Amino acid sequence: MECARIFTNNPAVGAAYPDATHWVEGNVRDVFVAVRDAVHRGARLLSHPLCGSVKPWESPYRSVWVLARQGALDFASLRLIEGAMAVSGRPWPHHAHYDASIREDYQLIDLELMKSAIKNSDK
Amino acid sequence: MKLEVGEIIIKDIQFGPGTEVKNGTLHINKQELEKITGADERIQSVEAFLARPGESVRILPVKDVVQPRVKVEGKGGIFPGFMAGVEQVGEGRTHVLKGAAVVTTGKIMGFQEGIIDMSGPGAQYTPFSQTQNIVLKIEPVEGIKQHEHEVVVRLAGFRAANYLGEAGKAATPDNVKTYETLPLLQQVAQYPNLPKVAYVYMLQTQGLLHNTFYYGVDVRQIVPTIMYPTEIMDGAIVSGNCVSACDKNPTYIHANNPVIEDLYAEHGKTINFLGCVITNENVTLADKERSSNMTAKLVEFMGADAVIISEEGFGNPDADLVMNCNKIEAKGIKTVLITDEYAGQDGASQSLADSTPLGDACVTAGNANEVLTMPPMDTVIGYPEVAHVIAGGWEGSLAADGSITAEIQVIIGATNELGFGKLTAKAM
Repeated sequence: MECARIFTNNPAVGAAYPDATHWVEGNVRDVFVAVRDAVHRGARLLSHPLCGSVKPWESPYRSVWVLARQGALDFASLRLIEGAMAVSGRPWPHHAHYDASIREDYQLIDLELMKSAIKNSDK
Repeated sequence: MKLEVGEIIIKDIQFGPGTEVKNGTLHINKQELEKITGADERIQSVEAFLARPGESVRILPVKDVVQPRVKVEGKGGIFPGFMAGVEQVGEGRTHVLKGAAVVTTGKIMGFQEGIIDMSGPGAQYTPFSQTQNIVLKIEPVEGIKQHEHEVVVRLAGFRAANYLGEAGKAATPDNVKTYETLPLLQQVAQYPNLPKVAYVYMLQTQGLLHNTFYYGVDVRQIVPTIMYPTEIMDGAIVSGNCVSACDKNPTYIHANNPVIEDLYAEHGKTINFLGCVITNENVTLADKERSSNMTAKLVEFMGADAVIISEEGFGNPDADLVMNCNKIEAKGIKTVLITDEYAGQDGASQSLADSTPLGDACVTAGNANEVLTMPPMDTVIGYPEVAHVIAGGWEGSLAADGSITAEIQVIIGATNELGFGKLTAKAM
């Protein structure tokens, strides 16, 4: 069975799309690993794992829209998620110094880009 | 389509009683400029500052840079779809205050980047340390959300630039350049023995704070289309892109796109420059597939032998760049790619998120992860506290003495992928 899911560690996305969220506890790297594992099981990416010009090592939040399914490996999806991981973690940063308002801004931008993806596909 | 661009060289800027150009100096009525810039009920206050090359001044966070221009002859006005109607532009005569720039500063998100240093080591990385800058610090009314804040500051910058541009209407240009592109079949026939070259102009269009507009339309919503290159010189493309200071294209750089400038310089000599295809960089893979299919179709339809493709941004758009390259090459059309790199602070890491063996002619505008220390400046215009959390920095980037140590991605235009900067990178 196929279903579109948003792999995310962003609470704002979880709140906006509660029925479509695949929640990942952890940082951006953990989200990418979860997506990569799903791709190995046959999932296909619907959105690019790197969203916008916000660098993956700068934002504590990431959402990736995925068509979850079991089946043959989609090599294009694998290349994109592996590419995203390759440019993301060097070294994996800590965002402990971000205050609540900075975190909210990063959540908002990730949410808005996800909305933009879903809206464009609804047309 | 033929456009004459009259360049009025601005060597100095001064506040004074009236707004006019006299002997290479742009005199500005500060109150009038602030009033016109702030003519929006969503703006609480506007304050204008002047920043000249060589001064000990830092501007941050920079939202956009806009060049003052004015339409002297021909249809339409500068920034169609925003400041003028939607008439086709790119024809007739336009005057430019060359050397002057409107710089808008506004803290839209908490993690804002975008630094211009007017002197010191940071100044060497931004083209806007060499311009006479009219800096506008724009404060919106309370409670405005990020989307609207971006719109408010963007439009305020255009109002300011057009107000100053009017001062160039009556001035006599120091030099006049003429650019002409004929309708396609005539253009092909004009130089039948030269290779036909098109330009694929990729625009950042992913959503909040990542927007670019063509005649007022959000480019995210378009399928790729053909553009006369002269249209950009009248502001047909404007930036609503606030993220990734080093490799976004401010409105100023769109209007002065050096790829188009250089293609015109070779037009009729070594190449036949056919025109531009503008395309987007969207979030979903289906959008990316559709737009790259359309782009490849259009350059084939134009009969191009070769194309230059420029990217805007990093990461996600690398996929668009690779798709455009693969699909255009598959049609037997040669490609040259322009990008920048995030190769790690030591330059040794994978520098793009995607790649293709067909991308064998690639120009890079530098490594955005390169680290630089920018000493303190006497004056900081804008919001100096954002340096604490600046994207491209880290905890401790702002030292107690006011110096900033960060990656050059925080500097406006440092690795601009239209080649407006001075950097490149080479394989060792």
